Amino acid sequence: MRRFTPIKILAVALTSTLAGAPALAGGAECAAAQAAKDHELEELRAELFQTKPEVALGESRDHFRPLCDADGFPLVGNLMRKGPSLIQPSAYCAEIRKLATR
Amino acid sequence: MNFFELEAVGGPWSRRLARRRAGFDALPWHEAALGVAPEALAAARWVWTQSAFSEYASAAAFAEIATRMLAAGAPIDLVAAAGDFVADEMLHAELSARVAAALGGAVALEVDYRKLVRPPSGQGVLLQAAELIVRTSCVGEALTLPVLGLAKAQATSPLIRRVLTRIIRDEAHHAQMGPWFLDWAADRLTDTDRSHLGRVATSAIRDFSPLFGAACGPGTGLGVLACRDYDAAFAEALSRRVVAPLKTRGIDVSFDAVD
Repeated sequence: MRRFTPIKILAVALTSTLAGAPALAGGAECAAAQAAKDHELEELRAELFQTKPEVALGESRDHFRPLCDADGFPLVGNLMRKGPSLIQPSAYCAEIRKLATR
Repeated sequence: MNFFELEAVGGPWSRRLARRRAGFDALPWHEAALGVAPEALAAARWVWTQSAFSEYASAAAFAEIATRMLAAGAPIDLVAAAGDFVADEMLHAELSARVAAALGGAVALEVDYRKLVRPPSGQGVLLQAAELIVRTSCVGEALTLPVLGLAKAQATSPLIRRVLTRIIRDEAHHAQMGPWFLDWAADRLTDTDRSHLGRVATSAIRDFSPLFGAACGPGTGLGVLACRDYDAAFAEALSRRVVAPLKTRGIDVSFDAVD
């Protein structure tokens, strides 16, 4: 029987030190993770952690959600190219449900 | 609900993708975050995490399309392309995830893996395949192309530019599948079917409407667009790449519902 050591490409660290904010991912064991070890990037990250969650992430304490339709299915297409301060996905889904009932 | 995560198992399964992944590891992953303001980084991490999940959900959509196409007896090269697009989308998900990681880490995205693709509501295997294709290829992928093209044009980071270049290259094929399928199916679809597909397209477009008219953040040069630029690109794409090609095929989008 094989033993797998999966390669993490995207992971969420639930023990994020960003108090009160949605958890952040940072443990990807791929080439990109090497970038996180870069000294300058560490400085940037530290700065980010000191930023107010609302400013840094543009949303409330809630976890983020993908854009969805009235029934909670994700919208098709790589179209979410506006920054997070623009729209809160939870509010977005509520707005979609309102539209669907019109 | 789960948090969105991605992993690979490696071995022969990664080697199988080696040709398609050629150059990924050599991309300048260290470069994108250097000298970027924290707010811009946060916005970009959010966008690229959403991007990774969008690509993942698109993979599910094309897998479903391939299955429905098989059931409908669609041409084998179209079916094979739909299956192949699943691999494209997986690689886009990987690229997007790695960009998010390179920018400081992904955000926590709560997802429901049991609800990745909206089931078709039409009757009959052909109409069900057509419905999925209209929603995915004729609307979603067709709108994606110019929006990602603009994000690439405004990118100040070589990494972001190169990642978007790769994604756009593949998405162009994904957007072409819809019209090809509809042309093949034209004699098999009834006017009632086309009316149904028009409602499907309208609904798919309408789902994006809350993106517009809200407060707006600035673009970042890291794949995040300013509202004004985004809205203009979306509107132009909607008219030229979605509504017009569908109308040519007898499928009308109701603009009243889109406004």
